[in-house]
This record gives sequence, structure tokens and C-alpha cells, in this order.
Amino acid sequence: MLFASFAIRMLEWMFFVGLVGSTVVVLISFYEDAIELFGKDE
Amino acid sequence: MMPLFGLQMAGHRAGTLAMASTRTTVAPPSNRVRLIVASSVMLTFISFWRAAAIVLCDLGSSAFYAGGIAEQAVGAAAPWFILGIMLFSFAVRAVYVESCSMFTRGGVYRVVKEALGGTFAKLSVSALMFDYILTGPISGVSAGQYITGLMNELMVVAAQSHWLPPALMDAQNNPFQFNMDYTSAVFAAVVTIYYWWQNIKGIEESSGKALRVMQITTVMVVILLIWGVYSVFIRGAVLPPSPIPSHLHFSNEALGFLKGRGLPIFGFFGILMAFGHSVLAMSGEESLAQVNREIEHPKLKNLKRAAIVIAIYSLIFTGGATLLASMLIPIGPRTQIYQDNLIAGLAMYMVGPMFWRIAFRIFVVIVGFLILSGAINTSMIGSTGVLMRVAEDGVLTDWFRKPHLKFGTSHRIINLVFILQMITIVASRGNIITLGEAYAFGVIWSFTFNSLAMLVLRWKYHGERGWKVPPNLRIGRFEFPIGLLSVFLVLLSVAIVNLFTKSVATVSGIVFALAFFIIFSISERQNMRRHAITARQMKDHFQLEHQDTISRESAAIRPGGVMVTMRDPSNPLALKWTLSRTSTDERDIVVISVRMMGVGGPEYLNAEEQSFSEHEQMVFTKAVSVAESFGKKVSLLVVPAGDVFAALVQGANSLEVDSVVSSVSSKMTVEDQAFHMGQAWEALPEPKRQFNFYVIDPAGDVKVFYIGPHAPALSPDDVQLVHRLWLNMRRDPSVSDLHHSDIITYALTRLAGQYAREKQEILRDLRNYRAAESPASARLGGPNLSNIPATPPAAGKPPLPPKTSL
Repeated sequence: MLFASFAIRMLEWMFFVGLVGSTVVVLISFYEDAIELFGKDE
Repeated sequence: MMPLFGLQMAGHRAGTLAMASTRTTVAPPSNRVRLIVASSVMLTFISFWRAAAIVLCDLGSSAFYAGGIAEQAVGAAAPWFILGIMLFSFAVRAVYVESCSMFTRGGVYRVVKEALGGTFAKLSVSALMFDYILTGPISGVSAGQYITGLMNELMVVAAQSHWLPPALMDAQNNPFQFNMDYTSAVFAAVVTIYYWWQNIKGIEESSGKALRVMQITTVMVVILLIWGVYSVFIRGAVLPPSPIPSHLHFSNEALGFLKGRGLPIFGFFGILMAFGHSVLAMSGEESLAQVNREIEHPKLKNLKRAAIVIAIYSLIFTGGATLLASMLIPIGPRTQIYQDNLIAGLAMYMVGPMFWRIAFRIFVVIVGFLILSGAINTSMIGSTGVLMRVAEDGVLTDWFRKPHLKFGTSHRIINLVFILQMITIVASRGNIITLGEAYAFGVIWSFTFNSLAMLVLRWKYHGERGWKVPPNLRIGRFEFPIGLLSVFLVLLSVAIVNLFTKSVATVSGIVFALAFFIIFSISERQNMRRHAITARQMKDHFQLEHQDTISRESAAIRPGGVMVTMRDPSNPLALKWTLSRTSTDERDIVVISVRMMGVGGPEYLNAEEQSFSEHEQMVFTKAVSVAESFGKKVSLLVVPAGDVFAALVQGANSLEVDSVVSSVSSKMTVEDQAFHMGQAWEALPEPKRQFNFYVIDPAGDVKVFYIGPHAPALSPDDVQLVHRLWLNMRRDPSVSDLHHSDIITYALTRLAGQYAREKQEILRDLRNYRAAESPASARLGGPNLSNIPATPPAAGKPPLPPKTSL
């Protein structure tokens, strides 16, 4: 039970830390996408 | 320049090649046949719009079932998780863009193999196969649910209007209702059988069809969103409960192995579980890597554009439709009637007259049928492509690669995929919740393997990398991939949680993936022995030579040669016909055998990646023995390609041949063969050469077609008419210097101007004119093809070719 609880907390930590980082990825993607879609062609 | 493999007889030109590309030559004894192995694959390229349409046919189809399945598992807050998944898919997409910027076909198999080795690659491709195999049944059953739901609704409406015959009413005066699950299963089975047969015959992959389906879907999405938002404003609907732990209500099935264990799973961990139950909404991202190979130049820019379109479209469609459904459909009908056909329910709960709501629902069902049945085909083509890829890599035995005798398709792989899909449909008995449960396993694990491999490749791979997932923190020489690691952490945590909360997925996924893994491992071991023998035999008979691309000069072919197609070693008819009519002292004969690469196959094959199957060995050996029996020399070429006709026209163009000779196809008419050849020629970039295409039937009769622009074959009557007009017009002194060609130029210019104004009338007149013409005269639709009455059928003799020696 102790191990299971630890694993659950560990997964929660991984998930939420990953989610914060992924949010940054998505925000940068939005910015880059806007440039890609509306920016001038080289 | 063109990519191909070439075999050439008996070392006649071994010392005369002027190679323009890199090559690795095995030192030959003088009596061996030269075999040039090309690395680049012949492809036709598509725009990013078409690429996006192909991916969206898979990814967008999940909008029809993901919301309902997620709500069954986690409760009314599900739409927020679907939206969250669709936003997260932007990050997953970024991982695929990075992998595709490194490898043209940056799918799971290639990336994981590069990073983690063959064993992990086999494991990841097994998970991917589970995803692909299940895409078919879940899409088929979902389409069935929409159609059955509509039929049942129409039964109720008909009963209320007293249109239903008594035979379709029960004792309580209720209308007959089809069983949703069983009827859907039957529907899914029928559509799967249909596409199985189409694939066996060799269905034409068409990005145009995908584009049309997505255009129709877009019309539906626009109506859905505008009408839905309007309905929300009129009704004053409220948003679904926020995605916090206290709002999550997991079904018993959604707890999986964690049920009754007393674990602290209803806090933040619940959010993680709910995320895992919604992950199937982004299934289909892998198709981006599969389609990347075909994207036109500039590849990376267009890949990014396609990825943007895909991500935005699926966010709006899947996320928006699920959110609107939860706001407009009351919870009772939403979870008990429309849980399996949520968008149909949304149509019925719009604001407006019943007639228009039913009409829109019918439209939704039609669109659902198109996109979901398209997804069945995509899953069959995709899973066949993945298996072909591993077969090409020597991980599946040659038995799977042997082409169908009549249709030339990889029928054994298609049959395997079909059987697995039918077993899935029967086992699920049309229950989409069960299918959805299982489906997420393949989706999440293939993503996880891919992101792990990409993470490893940040340190391991030092080749070209067009783009990186941001942000990356650089400290001195060390670069820390924050973005990539974050995506991997989310995927890994969700994948692990799903192992415990999705019991059906875990059990079926592990059994399936293990079964495939074992098959792959045993096959690979057997293949290593067999391929070693084949490779030795090939080296004994042929002088192996690897080239990136090849041209006429590098293949040492003189201009104006003859190219002969050969696929079946038991049917060398075209080669015999050509050999009997060609003096090889004057013209070179090139025998070409197209090696079809599966969907998502590579754009480039290294020498060590190319293993010859027993079938190919038989084709080469037969071609050589036939040539020897005529006492003539031939060059044998094997071309890796995505499309056989594209390969032939590219081959003919690069080798500057005047004629291409082929046997009659077993799956299309002679005219269709020529039409496809003409279409492929049209798609060929400039500069391009015209050539004659000869098709030989088993009786030895020949038809010849000019491929490319050419002077039309005017009948004597046409010539007479021009001449009479010329005589008549010249009587006018002002045009006394008139030429025959002036009349034709004037007539055509005038027709072109008239055609611009009165297109339909002219086409109708043309149809009437052609109908009045002799029905026996075969004509082709392509603008650059014309059928030359090559030979009287009774005579069965070949036409006079442009060069007398053929």
C-alpha cells in the first residue's frame, strides 16, 4: 500500500510537471504557428 | 535523374558506366549480371492541404465517438478533458514534426529503432499495430451506431405519424428498434469486408478523395458550430462542471484494476485518470509521420503547415463538438441515448424546426459514414503499410511479401489485418465503449515510445535536424530539452496509469502486442538466415551496385531504348514480345520491376536496408534466362516506388527511352492502364519526354498509346475537310497565302474561346458527337493520350513502332 501510494504521488508529480512544460510547448507552438500561417514566405 | 535498381546482363558495360551518384560496388567476376540498387524511392508529392486531409480523415473521425466514450468513463466534466487532450495534441504534434525533420518517415518504428534498437522498435510497432488494427473496428462500429441511431429515430417519427406498418409495431404499440450494438457490428463487418476486397484488388490511394471528404466534413463542422453556438445563446445553456477532482465520477469499468483497492485515487490522481480516459481523442497523429514522405517541397515548411491545420481543425471539431453536446443535450439522453452518437444527438437538440434538425442529423450521419468508413480504409492501409515496412526491414518473413498472383498486392498482410479486425468486431459485439477502452492502449504507448526515442536521440543522433521541440535550455555545451521531456513525462505517466485503469486495454493490448512481438522476433531470426542465403545467391548471380539515383548515363543505356515492365516471373510475355522484335545492337532493352513500398514507406533506403525477397530473385533470374534464350542482352532495373505508374513514367523519362512495353493488367483495362500512365506523366515535373506505351495481351495483340503531347491521329475524312476548307477560303484574294495549319489554328483558337464561355454546351455537343461516332473506336479521357488503332485484332501483329527496330 505504501509503495502504491508513493507510485501514485510520483505519477501525479510527473504528470503535472510535464503538463506545465507541455503548456509552454503549446504556447510557443501557437506563436510559431501564427508566424508560419500569417508570416511572409521566404 | 531517377532512382532505381538496375540489373545488366553479363557485364557488357561493367567498365563503361559514367556514374553521377554514389555507389558501392561488389567486385564482380566477369560472368555475373550487374545489379544496380537505388536508394531513393520514386514518389508523387502532394500539397500540405491534401496531407492534412489524409491525417484528418483518421484524427477527425475520433470526434464522432471520443466525447461519448470519455463521458461514460469520467462523467460530465469529460468535455474539458477532451479539450485538454486536443490542446496537448499540439505538443505531441511538435514531437512528430521534430522526428519527421530528422527522418523523412519519422514514424514510431524508424525513430525507436534508431534510438533504442530493434527490440524496442518491435515492441513499439506492436503497440502501433494495436492502434491501427482497432481504428478500423472502432470507426466501423461508430458509423454503425450513427446509422442505427438514425434508423431507430426515423422509426419513432414514422410511428408517431402513423406511417409505420403494423408488422413493425410491437404489442405495446412501440415501433421496431434495431439493436444498436449488434446492428453496428454487422455494419462494421460489412464495410470492413468491402475495404478488405478493395485493398486486395489494390485500391487507389487518393489524397483527392480525402480532401473531398474533409471539405464535406468542414461544411458540417461550420453548420454545427454556428447553429450550436446560436442554440446555446438562445437556450442559455451552462458549461459542463469544471475538471476538478470533486466533479469526476468514474464508472466501475473506468477504475479498472484499481477498483476496491482503497488507494488514494480520487484526488489529483483522478485528473490523471480522466486524462488517460480521454486520450483516444488524439489518435491518428502517427498518420502525420506516415504521410510526411509524400509532402511536396519545401517539405519541413509544408509539414508544419499540415500539422497546424490538423491541430487547429481537430481542436475545433473534436473539442468544440463535445463541449456543445454537453451544453445542449440534457444529461439523460446524452448518457443513455446518444452516448455512442453524440453529434447526432447534438443535431437533434439544436434550436429550430424538427424537420431541419432531422435533415441536419441525416447530414451528420452521411458525413460520419464518409469519414468513419474512410478511417476503416486508412486503418487497413496504415496497418498494411506498417507491416510492409517491417517486412521490408526483414522483420516479417518473405511469405508475407509475396504479391497476389492476379492483383499484385500484399494480400497476405492485408488478410492478416482483415482477420484481426473481424475478430475485434466479433469480440466487441459492437460495444463501442469496450473498443474505446482497448483503443487507447495502442495510441498512448506508441506516442510514449516515440517521445522516449526522440528524447534519447537528442543525445544520440548527430545528423540533420530541421526543427526541435521548444523550449531548450542551453548551459554551456549541454542542451536540456525541457519541452520534449515535458511531453514525455505526461505521456509516460498517462500510459502507466492507463495500464491500471483500463483493464480491457491492458489485457488485450499486452496479449496483442506480445503476440506480434513474438511473431516479429521469430520471423526476423528466420529471415536473417534466409536473407543471408538469398544475398549470397544474389551476389553469385548479379553484380550488386548501389546508387542514390540513376540516369541514362549512370545506367549506361543509349537514348531511345525500350523499357519493359516485369512483375510476375511466370509471365514474361512483354519481355519475350520485345526481345523478338528488337535488335539490341541498335536499341537497349531495360526490364523494370517496381518494388512497391508500403504507405508511409521511406523516401530513401540505404544499401543495407534493402533485402531482396525470393520473389524478386525469381523475377530477376527469369528475366535473365529469357534474355539468354533469345541470345540478347538486357538491363534489368528494379525501382522502389510508392506508385507503379509514377515509377514507370519517371523511369522512362530518366532513361530517355522511346517505348514502354507492358503486359495487360489483371485488374484494369488496357485503356485504364494507359490513362493512369498519362496521368502520371502529367504529374511529372519538366523536363519530360514523350514515349509510346505498348500493352500486350496474352494472345499477343498489341495496343499502343502515345504518352505526352503529340500530333492527333487525324482520319482521312478530317484531312479532306481541312483541305476542302482551304480550297474554299483561298478563293478570297485577301487570304490567298493561307496554309492548312492556319485553318486548324483558327478553329482551335475559336473553340477555346467558345469553350471558356459555353463549357457545358460544348461538352454536351462533344458527347453527342462521340456517341454518334463508331463505338468500336476506343478513346481515352486524358488530354495527352490517344489510342492509336495499333493493329487489326485478327492479325495480332505489333504496330509499326517509331523506330524500325522494335
